[in-house]
Amino acid sequence: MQAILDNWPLLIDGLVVTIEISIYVIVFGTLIGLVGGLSLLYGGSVLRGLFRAYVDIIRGLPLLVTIFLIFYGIPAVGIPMDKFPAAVLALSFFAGGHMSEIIRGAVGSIPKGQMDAAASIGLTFFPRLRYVILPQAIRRIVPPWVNLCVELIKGTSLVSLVSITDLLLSAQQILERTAQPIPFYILTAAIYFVLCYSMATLGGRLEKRFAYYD
Amino acid sequence: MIETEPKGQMPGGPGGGKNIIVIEDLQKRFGHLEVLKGVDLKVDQGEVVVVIGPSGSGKTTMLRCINFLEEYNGGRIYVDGELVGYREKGGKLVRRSEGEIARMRADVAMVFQSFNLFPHMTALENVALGPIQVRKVPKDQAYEKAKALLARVGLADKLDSYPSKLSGGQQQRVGIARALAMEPKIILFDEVTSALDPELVGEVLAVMKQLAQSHGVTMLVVTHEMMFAREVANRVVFMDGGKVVEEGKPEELFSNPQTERLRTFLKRFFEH
Repeated sequence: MQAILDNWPLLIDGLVVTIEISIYVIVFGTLIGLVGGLSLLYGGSVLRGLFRAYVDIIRGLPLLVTIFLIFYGIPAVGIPMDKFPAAVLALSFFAGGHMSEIIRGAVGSIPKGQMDAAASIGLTFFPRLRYVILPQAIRRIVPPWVNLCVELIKGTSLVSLVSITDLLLSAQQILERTAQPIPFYILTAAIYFVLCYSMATLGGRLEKRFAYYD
Repeated sequence: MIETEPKGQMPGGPGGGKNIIVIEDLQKRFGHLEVLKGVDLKVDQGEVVVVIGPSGSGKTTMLRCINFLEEYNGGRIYVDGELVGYREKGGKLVRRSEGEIARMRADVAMVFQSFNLFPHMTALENVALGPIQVRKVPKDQAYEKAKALLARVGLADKLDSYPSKLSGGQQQRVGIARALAMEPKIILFDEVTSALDPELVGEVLAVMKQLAQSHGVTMLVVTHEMMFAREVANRVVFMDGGKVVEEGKPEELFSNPQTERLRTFLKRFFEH
């Protein structure tokens, strides 16, 4: 107990890093996914092909391999990059691929007649998406989006393997000093659980909110 | 009946108006399937034209081409003298920009067989969306007008209802109000009662009939409702096999069909 009290500031620092990475990755991943998903649906053949390849590659690689590839690959081709942005980039790249597929699926499931009706009142392409298609797609996006976000939060723990001091790595550093692995691992697990569980709860609420028109 | 003047600006027709739609030799293929094989049709301002014909005759595809929801492969469509979807450049057709296509679509309203109301918007919002986002009408003004239009189609008490809470007949009347809200040059009706339960067909036809009789609204109506065609149309057009086979005043066309195909079609209909 005393060990926890002594070391909690360090743990909090790690937690902050984990939360920061999670937020960046969710935001960037969603943005990439929006562009990717819409390109897969409405893009020309070049754009579609590019994103198809991207999504297929991402889905075929373990996250840790993706992280290592980008983390060590980018400096190797001569682009200097700090550890933190490199890790965010790697995770976002992974997230974007999966988000693309989620958004493609949800938007593609909106009946074609909606696009027709929106077009027939004279809306151009982006207003059609904004006012008609996306507001309907969002409730179909939210459930798989939340699942992915939870996976991403858990996935951030892998950045400890490229020596970024996130929640997991800071816990490990503490327990190496205190030689009390069990309580610290339990504490770390509990914090991850709370993070992920609150994300899932938030998702449930969002889902209800976007179903207002039933 | 087939005349070949381009960009119809001639007077004539029951409304005394000009040709608001001119279709010349319209052709449309889906892959190897030829759906429209040279359709010629003119609609005057203020006219109510009903298109009948067996399923697969290309009626719906023709309507969708007029609104450029389908690109066409040959021929020309003019709405109010403007070529739909394309510009002519040195004898070749070049697709218009997204903005130009949208501007032309705003003047051609469409009511759909499956209603296609926006499910996440109330009846009022459905009707006001086009005026607000496309016509840039101030919101309060657009909602006032939407209210009046919904009252006109008998839905004054359903302004704030979402489509999921409305019957098919009510949804379709919202669809008609949504079309009217754009103050279009013409409204296209695509088998608008086909998806309705039989007891709901009447309320939608009544609204359309009232519209037709109010004059000023040009209507091109694809339907299987022969009674409606007979009572309301200024002119009936019979399509079969991707072409206009016969057209004329309803009383003439129904009582004295000139072609075997129309005779067969009408016989099948009135035997049921």
